[in-house]
Amino acid sequence: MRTLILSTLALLVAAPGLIAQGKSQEELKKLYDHKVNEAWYTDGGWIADFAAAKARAKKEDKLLFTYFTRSYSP
Amino acid sequence: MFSDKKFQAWGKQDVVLFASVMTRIKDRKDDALLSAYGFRGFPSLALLDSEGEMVTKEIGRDLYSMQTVSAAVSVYHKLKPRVDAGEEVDQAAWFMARLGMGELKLEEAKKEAAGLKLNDEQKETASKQIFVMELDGLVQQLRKRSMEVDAAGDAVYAFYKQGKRLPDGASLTSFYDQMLVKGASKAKDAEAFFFSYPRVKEGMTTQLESLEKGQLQYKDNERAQEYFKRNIESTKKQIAELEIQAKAVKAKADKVDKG
Repeated sequence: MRTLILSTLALLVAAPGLIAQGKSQEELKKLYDHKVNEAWYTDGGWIADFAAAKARAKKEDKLLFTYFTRSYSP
Repeated sequence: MFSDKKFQAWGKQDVVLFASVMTRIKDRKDDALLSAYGFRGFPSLALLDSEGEMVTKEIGRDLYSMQTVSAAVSVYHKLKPRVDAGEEVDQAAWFMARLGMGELKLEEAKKEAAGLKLNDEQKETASKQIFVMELDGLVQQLRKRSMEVDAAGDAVYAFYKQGKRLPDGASLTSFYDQMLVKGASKAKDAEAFFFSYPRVKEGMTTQLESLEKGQLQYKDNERAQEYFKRNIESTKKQIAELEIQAKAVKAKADKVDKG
């Protein structure tokens, strides 16, 4: 029983990575494009490029509110 | 949270919103950022400075916490090296920075605030933050079962009578409302009861709709059906109890009005 629970948990943790492995680079790029066109992103004025975000923060004397997320898996 | 108009307005005005999206696209430099900053999973939040240096990872998941930490952090990082070097700094500013960064425990914060000369704006900000800490303390006591729900209701009712309200965007609003209807119902205080009643009713109704939707969606899953049936019954019971309380409180208020 314990082995079953542990292996299920391991599968849940590994699942997003496994899902990504099955995708082509083109599919991964499409998923990224979809992510950065979602309403929360575009309406909020988010930036996904680190260098561009830092440059803007420097220019406007602001902090970077950083949200770590992923596009390759739900 | 990020679709909320208030969050978006704050995001455009006070900070730069950076979405560090891990893509698994080959050779994409920014994919390495999650592990570079010591995070292991999604979603994660952080405040970085314009050089990309970590400022803090300690950010609550509600707008009020995000605003509070962001406002405090630059003052905190400006004053801390001077404090560490033994220099004299503006004690009120240092207190506000530490309070905003969540460094102070409740009793420490109250004692320091009482001993300092805070200006009106600082007093108001400190008072709101200390109140959020007081409410969080009640939540923790309920979780540890060192306080009964009725007692929490009485405590929040007392806060209401002292004029204490949560600031906009604070995540404990739902808790405050639920406890206030309990405490106000017990005290038969219509004004206090109906202050929170609409939001509590709306929350319960939304929860019921969501459960009923789930019950339809998973109609072939026996265990899911047991879960939904149990929780739908419980939510309907809570709504019925709320309406009984509302009637009783209103009846008392009408009786008082008729003199």
